[in-house]
Amino acid sequence: MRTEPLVQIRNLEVRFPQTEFSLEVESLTIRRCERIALLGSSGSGKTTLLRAIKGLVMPTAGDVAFMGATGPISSTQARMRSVALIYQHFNLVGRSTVYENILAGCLGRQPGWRILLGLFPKPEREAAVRAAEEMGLESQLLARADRISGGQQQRVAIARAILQRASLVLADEPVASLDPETGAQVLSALQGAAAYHGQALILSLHDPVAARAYADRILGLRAGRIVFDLPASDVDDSQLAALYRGDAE
Amino acid sequence: MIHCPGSIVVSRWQQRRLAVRILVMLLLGGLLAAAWRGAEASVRDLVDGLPLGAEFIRRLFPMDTSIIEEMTRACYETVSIAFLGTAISVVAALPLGLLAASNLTNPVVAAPVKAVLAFVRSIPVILLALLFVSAVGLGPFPGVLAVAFHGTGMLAKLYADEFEAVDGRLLEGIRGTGAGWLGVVRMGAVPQAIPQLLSLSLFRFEMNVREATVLGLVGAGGIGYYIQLYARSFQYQKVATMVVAVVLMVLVVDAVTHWSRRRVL
Repeated sequence: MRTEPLVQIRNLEVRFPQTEFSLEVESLTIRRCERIALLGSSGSGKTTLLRAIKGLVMPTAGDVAFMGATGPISSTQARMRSVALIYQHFNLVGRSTVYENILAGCLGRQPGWRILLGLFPKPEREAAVRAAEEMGLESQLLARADRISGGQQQRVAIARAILQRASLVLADEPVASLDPETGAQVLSALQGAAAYHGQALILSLHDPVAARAYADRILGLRAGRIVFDLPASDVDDSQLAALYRGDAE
Repeated sequence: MIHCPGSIVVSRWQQRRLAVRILVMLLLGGLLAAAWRGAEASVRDLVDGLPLGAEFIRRLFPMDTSIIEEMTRACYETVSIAFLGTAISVVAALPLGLLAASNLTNPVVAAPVKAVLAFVRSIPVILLALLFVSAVGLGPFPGVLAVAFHGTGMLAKLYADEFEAVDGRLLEGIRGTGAGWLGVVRMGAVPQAIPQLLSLSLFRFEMNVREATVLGLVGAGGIGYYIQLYARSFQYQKVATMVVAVVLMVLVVDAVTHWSRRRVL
């Protein structure tokens, strides 16, 4: 189970018409329950790779195959549901409560009339409360999402991803807007939730120390290419230094 | 690239700015002169007319307070036209506003919806009232229809603007859960925009009360109907009572909506 491939990337190429940047990934396999960190300087293609896996960016060439329980998932909606994305700026509905933001995680499997009337089934409502409790947000359930701290907002986003029941959680610089201490708490929460719910996790990070601490495998990106793909313990300082050396442009 | 000293750059910029200002002044002056002619404005007519105006005002007094009951009914009718008309346009404008918001709906759909709304808005309420009076007859009901129709065009456009102002990252966050259009709208765009939508609707109600006061001039009910009735039969003291009622009603409605809008925002 743990070694089954979840995402298979073959000859992926993403180009943007207005820029010279291109992302090229020859081959990349992500297995179930893996914890991967993406490292690389700004503009190295971390976000583009995550968005390509999520299906928000269409490949210019090649493909990203996403495996469901029974085979590859082709529909965009199903892929959206199976892959959760956590953002640097949390992307919550600020005026809604913590509870409603978490509950939004179940939208992908609700019929239209339930969404329209805002009447969600009891198991989903209970799951939302449980996810909040898991993230230590039980006393914040009815607070407005834009009135809580950044660390708490990010935990709301994690709880939403739990409710989404995604098999892969992507986190795009999830701690870049947080202070180091809060950041460490959020990364622990992310890692713990992924382990508990059997989700694979890909974190894009700026901090190699955090990458080593929270991931089993590290991908180094530079100018849109994967320059190394190693177990976290095998990545040494010279490889990291090469990743951030300022001659990429 | 020729290098200029800073002082030359600044003085050129000042000259250019001066030239632009003079040009704008000339343009505005020309427009004002054209408008003065177009509107047949005349200071002499204004001065000559002052005694007549004073005579008119003198004839308004003393106000005839024997029509208080009728006045109350007229105000009730006016506010009812505005309230019902606003309620109908809120219900109609919500789906239209969502369809017209280009960040929620494909621009292929949103652009034509916007064009239709612009057309609806372009017809003044008083003309709509004339139209509905000939369709459903005299009385407040055609007034409701006119206010509702025009209000829908206005509110749907303003709602669409509010939806478009919702942070795209927030919508992506909802979309990213696998939610469809309805989910993004119901759990993202609407809750985020709702205070603005409420505020705009209250403001629309306030404007509709003013609109409803003049609809009676074309037979579409409200207090304006009574004002023109008494004016035509030269009962100026009754006109005065009704005018005072209009002023008081508008002030009260303004105060109430102002207070409510501050509460929702």
